Amino acid sequence: MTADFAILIGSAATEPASPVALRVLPPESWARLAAGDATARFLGLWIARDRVHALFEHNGSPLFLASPLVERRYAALSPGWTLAAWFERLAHDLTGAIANNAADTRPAIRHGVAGTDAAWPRFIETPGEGFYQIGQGPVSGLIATPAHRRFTLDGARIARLEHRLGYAHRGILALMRGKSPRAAARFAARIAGGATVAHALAFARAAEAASGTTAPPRAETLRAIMLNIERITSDLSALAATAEAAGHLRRATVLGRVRAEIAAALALVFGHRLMMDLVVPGGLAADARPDEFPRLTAALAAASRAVRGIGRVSVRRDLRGAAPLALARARSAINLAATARDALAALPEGIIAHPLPAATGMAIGAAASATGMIHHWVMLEAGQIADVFVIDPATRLLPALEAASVGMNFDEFALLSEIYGISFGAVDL
Amino acid sequence: MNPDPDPATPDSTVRVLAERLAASGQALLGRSLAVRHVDAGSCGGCEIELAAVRVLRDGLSRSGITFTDDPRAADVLLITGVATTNLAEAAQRTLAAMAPPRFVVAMGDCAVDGGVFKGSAPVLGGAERILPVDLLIAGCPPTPRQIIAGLLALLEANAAPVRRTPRRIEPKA
Repeated sequence: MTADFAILIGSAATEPASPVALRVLPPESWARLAAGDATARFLGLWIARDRVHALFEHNGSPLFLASPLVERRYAALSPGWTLAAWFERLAHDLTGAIANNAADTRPAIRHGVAGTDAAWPRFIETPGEGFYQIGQGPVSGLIATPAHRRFTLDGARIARLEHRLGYAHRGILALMRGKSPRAAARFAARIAGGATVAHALAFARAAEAASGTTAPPRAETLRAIMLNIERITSDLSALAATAEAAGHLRRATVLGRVRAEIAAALALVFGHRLMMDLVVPGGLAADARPDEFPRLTAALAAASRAVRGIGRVSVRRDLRGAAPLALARARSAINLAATARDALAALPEGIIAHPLPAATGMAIGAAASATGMIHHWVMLEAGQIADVFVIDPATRLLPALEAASVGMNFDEFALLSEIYGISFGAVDL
Repeated sequence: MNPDPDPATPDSTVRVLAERLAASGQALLGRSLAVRHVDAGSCGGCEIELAAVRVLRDGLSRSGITFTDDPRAADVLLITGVATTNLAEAAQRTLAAMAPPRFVVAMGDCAVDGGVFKGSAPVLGGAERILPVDLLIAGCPPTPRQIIAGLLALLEANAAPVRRTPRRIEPKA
């Protein structure tokens, strides 16, 4: 962080929040954030309570900033932090707040609304003769994903990739407001089905911290196990889809089957194949059945064996640009399986939930999904959710995928897209 | 907590259902049931279980379902997720591109009636709000067994109109 940046933040007024205080900057100081800073990492931006909020990571800890809106306007961060562009567009569509000098003012989730952009869909023009564009989606692929991709091609190579999103916008944040944390947890669990535990956990941790409580030790241990297993299943899904895209159909089927066997074991241990609705603020909604642990550990061991084949030279060659990420996900699955097995063997006894007091407070909760850190910001007033925001790693992966696609052909891009495993529902909210 | 009504179906049960579905498809269509999937605003949970259905093959017995990219080649439009305003037109255009006889299956609680998202401003509700639905498969998400059982029921209930392959005509003696 530059000295100027540090002075800006150091002089800000603070308000209590967990795990770090909220620093409230005057609008003229906020405007200077737009210059960017190489040492901090942008995570998310949202509007709440007539303020613009931003979450950064700096020196391994969160940096939580806010500034009052002036006539429903604030200084855009997107000129210095490219990842902020999506959040500024989303904030405009959700609240009407305008980001001054924003790098991108296209609608995010409000398709074809009069006054926002009459020409929607609008993509960046092709740079000249010889370039052409191809659209794909929102109904494409054998199992469809709700997004539209627009490829600008230079011959057979991708010159630019843009996404049009908003097809999976369900209004999740509005549904969570005004509810008790326990009732809102059902929505947190349905932001992304492949990261239902991670989202429910980030939300529960935020609600617990805002209420000044914690989950009991048995619940904490089980949550960690569930989170690890969910990450393994997500790794297996991504690896199976990537193997299929590479034409390794047998390997894809084997990976899919070990994933399905974990799901069957999870149904026995936790009562749900995806562990949906189990993590709730205060602890867990149901206890695990230890007599079914052997089937789960056997399924995890089978998964560890199945992903080892990704390391073979012949497989790596066919995975092309997706190979480094595929290897990382395979290694991660092996490590997580070992950790989960050990944790299952050392599960503490005791209760699985604490009651959540009807508190007032503000907190950020985080949980690691297979694709990165998920953050939930929760503001409680007398035990009700006054406001909430959700940051999924897909908001960071999508621009990374767009950048990485440049120079690839369609086949190689398909591999990369599968190993990224982006959840569009978690971006659209 | 939404308990899975079918937590521990033995693989053999699913396999028997899949074999029946494959046999029905062979008898009625001369091939597997071709499915065009549309995600109308799903969290991705239903898609995980669809992927599980796709790997249910076991040697000679196949799940009896193939997923197809091409709406024209599809018998079934399988819709998952709550019907969002933004995806309604794309879903309707996909159905319009399908050749009759065609069926619409709404899979998962969101597609059945909007599920937990019922009443939210940017959603229309269940799949019935945008398309004529022939079959509902409830569950959040439905298990592979429920998905296959649902598609089997659809195929068996519509035995006559689905028939496309001409009956073999025996030469007269």
